[in-house]
Amino acid sequence: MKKAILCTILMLVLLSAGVFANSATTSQLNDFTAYDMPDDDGSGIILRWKPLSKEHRIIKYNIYRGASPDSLFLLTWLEVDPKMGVLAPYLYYYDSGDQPLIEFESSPLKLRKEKGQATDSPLYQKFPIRADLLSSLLDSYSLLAMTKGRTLHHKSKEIQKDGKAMSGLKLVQTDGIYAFPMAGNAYYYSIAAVNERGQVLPASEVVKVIPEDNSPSNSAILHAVYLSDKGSFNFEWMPPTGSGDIAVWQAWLIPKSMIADDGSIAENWQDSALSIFEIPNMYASSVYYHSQDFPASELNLDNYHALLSYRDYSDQMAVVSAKSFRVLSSEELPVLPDYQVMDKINDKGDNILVSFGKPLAYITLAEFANPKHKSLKINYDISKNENYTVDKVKFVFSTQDGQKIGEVIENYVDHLIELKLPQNFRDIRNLHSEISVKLLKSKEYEAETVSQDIVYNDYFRRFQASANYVNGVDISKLHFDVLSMSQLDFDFVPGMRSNALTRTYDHTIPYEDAVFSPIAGYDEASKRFLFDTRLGIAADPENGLYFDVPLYRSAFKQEMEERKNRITDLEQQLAQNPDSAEELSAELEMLKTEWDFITRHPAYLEAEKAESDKDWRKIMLTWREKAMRSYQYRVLATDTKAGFIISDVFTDENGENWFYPISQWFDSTKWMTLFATILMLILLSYAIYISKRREVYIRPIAGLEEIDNSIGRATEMGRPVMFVPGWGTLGDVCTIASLMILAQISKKTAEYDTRLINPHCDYMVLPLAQEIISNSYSEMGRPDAYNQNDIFFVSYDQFPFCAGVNGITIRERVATIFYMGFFNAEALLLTETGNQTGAIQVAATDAITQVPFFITTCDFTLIGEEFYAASAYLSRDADMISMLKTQDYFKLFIVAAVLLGAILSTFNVSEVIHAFPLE
Amino acid sequence: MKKTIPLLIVILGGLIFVAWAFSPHYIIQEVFYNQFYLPWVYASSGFAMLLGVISLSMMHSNKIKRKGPKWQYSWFFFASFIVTTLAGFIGGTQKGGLLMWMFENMQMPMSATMFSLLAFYMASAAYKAFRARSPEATVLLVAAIVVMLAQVPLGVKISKHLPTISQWILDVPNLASKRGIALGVGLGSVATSLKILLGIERSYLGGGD
Repeated sequence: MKKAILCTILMLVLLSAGVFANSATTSQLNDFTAYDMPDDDGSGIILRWKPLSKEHRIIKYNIYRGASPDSLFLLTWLEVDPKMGVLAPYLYYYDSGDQPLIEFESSPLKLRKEKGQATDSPLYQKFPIRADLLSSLLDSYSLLAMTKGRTLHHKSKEIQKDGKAMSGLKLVQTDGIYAFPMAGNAYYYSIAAVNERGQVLPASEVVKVIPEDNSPSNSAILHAVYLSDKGSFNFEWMPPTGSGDIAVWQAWLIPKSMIADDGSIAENWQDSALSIFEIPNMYASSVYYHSQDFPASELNLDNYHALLSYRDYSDQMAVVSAKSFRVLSSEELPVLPDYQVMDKINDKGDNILVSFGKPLAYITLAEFANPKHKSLKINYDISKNENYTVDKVKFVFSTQDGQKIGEVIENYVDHLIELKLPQNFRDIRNLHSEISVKLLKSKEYEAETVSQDIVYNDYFRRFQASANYVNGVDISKLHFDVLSMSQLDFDFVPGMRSNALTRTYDHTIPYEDAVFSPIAGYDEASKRFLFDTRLGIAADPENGLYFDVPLYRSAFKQEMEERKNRITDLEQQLAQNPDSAEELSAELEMLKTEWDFITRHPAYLEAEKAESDKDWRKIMLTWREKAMRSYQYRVLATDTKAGFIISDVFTDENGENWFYPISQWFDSTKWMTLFATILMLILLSYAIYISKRREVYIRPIAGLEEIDNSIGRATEMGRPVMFVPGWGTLGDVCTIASLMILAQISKKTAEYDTRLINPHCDYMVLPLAQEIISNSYSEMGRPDAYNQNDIFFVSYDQFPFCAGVNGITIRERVATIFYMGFFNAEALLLTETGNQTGAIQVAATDAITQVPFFITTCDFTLIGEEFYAASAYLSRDADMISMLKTQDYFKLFIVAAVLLGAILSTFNVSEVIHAFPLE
Repeated sequence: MKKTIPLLIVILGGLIFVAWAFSPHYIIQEVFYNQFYLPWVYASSGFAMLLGVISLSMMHSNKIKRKGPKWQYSWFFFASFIVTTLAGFIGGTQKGGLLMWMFENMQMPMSATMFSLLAFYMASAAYKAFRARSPEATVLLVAAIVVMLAQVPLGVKISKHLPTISQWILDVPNLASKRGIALGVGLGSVATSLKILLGIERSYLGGGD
């Protein structure tokens, strides 16, 4: 028998060991590969692995990366659903360095081995905040520090490195570090799954990958147009993936014979290609435009096709042929909109507004409003422009042959109209509409009208709007693009594209906050990372000049000295070597132009007068801020297939063409609010004057009248009173109002010597309540009766708080309960419990949704403003009562405004409505 | 003096926030509010939370000391407080840890239980409210029946006009009264703020001069 038991136990042990061993092996990730990302500059790596089955209850996959196989650090993780698992056969992660290597808030201070791994595992948790370790990665990664601009500019230390002044920052002065893989370097990756219990399962094997700088992909999309009357080409293209690596764009014309039927381009296409332009890639954009004079009248363009080639920084090239190549005349190009550029009003100074015209109204959808098709319910939308307020919208409906069906004038813009269909049009399936808007303060409807055909769709059983025409121009295929150039740019940058219905474009120009700076080195002595910080001050696109300064005045002086010496050297060389005069003169000329550009710049002249290095830097930073936030604008109208036209640089009526966003001191939409506030203050002064001279009438409020009685009842019964202030915070006015009532109630309980229980769910309100009650008891001469332990915190969560209060209600057999403050779903749970225990309940809240529950279950309920009037009502203080009277007087104004608005709106006069800040 | 300085601080703070409401300027919205005020609030709220914990601990420890009614339950407070704190500090707050396990398997079901009680309490409250004791209560009863029936398919079966009537009740008499209350609440809260700002209401400062 013993042997049998022993054998059984042994078998069970072996079996379980086998199961666990099996579980351990199957929980390890396999089929994990890492390979180079195609078409990029060598900074991207793709990871692929087979996810574990859902039985493992995996919540995330940790991704580890290292520059050596013996130390891999947690880089990031992919979260997955533990119940569903991963349905796809493989999981992918694209590492392009966009996840921070170090984050100030989450990275550890010490090196920590990853949990659940073998003792010789190379896996570590997040990269620690350790400068010595990070400095060892300088050759392995391209490191970028994220830091506050003001930290870099004002708190960095000047450190000389190889004769150059660098700005030094300690690692803790940065907010994060990003590490980008570099082409040609080896990187090591591993993946580990984490299950629902937080266990890190055994990691996959470590995989090595060496990213490469690939040639660009041929995924660019090109359209070209030849303008026959102008003799110029328009090129419009969307860049390929990984366009950040493109150095040069080149456009060509090639004979069509060089392009095969399948679209492939012959290898020797350059032999017979005509170069149209070659431009550097100056910026990153989602779309590029270029117009180039290139008379081609002698060419038979029917035999040619347009081509775009592009080279990356390692001179690798890709080429694409145009999707479309058309010959047009200038008249066939889209028409430029009449646009304005202005500072956006009511903002903090981080937007410039490009306005394309007045608002437009257009129909989005329509349907028959009833089965007998007596009317149509029509939804419309407004393409808004914040500079204009739409007062009315006029819709004129007709048949396709021009027979008028009806007209609707929308006096209140609620995006919905109803069109009564005359008897003979009840089965109409095709309408034509003309829509115009009337702006506020304008007497006439705008001449710009939107024409739409509204066609019934049998499948959807609704009318749908077809193409939109504005003044006869089809705008459904027309797009506007805003081109902007700051004072530090060399060219206008496109990419702010919107369809032609859009009436405004907000160009956001943020204030500088976080800056990303490449780490140029590490100074062992000071334990600081080095940055080659330069402040851009101005650019001269015409001459290709750029004025930027180092962060330190001494370094700038040295640079200027070197420039001066170089000019002197060149002048001497020119005098001594007249043979190479042309070459030397060109360089000398360029240097002198640059010297003049810098020394004549107002920033230079102002900074020269600075008395200290700090002042000098401050002046330079001010000029830099102005330059980087000042913009010029042009607008481009395009049919998206290279049929585009670009405006001149916008100049306003004052002749100004640089726009700098201005921070506003007053929000002009709040004039009415300010007026109401001032009116209330005037009424308050009057109410104080009145209430100090005679007794003013206050409407009796039953709930407040009964406070004395309800506390008296508790006293007689020898049971406590409870005051529940709701779960509002100190930031809610209702909580403050609740505490004011608490002050009055606690005086009564002190006077009657009744125990007051005051539970809280906000720890910020708690000390204030304790102080208020303590003072009330002292004022009534009963400081000894005050018990701080009766004013306590219960829970910050809604239902635990509710459960706690309900428990107290039952256990302490509370006789009177006051619910005063903000309540939500817990209101009914609290009051029903109180009701069942037979307590007298008085409730007051400004939460409209809870008022019905309070009315149903409480003995007395203060609704809305009665709650706010309570403290004045109870205290009978003249000043407080004057505030109550002020509210009443103000209500008179509100009622008058409501009546006036209703009457005027009835007669379609809407100016009063628009005067109020309505949403 | 005991009241004057706090009152001045309140008035100054109130005026700054009035400026914050009316001005979109960078100095007020960004420098004052985002860069100064919010970090200060985050920093101080931690200390306030500590006050809450101390308050709760004092109340329960006193209850145990005094052997107050149901004092044994106070031990549960200390036990659960220590367990959750240790679970959070040792095991972390991430999903999969003990703290989240306790949250998902203890606190959430208990909260859901409390919330589910609402259905029964609501039925009880409805019974009280909808008794046709007076003409007003009868109107309430009828309106409630119409609105409730319109929410379910049966209502449309009874009458196709029911949803329209229900919507009218919600949009006109119901919304009118709600707006009336909202107007009073809005005005009341403005008046309360103004009372504090102008120093008319000082009860929150406690007694004494």
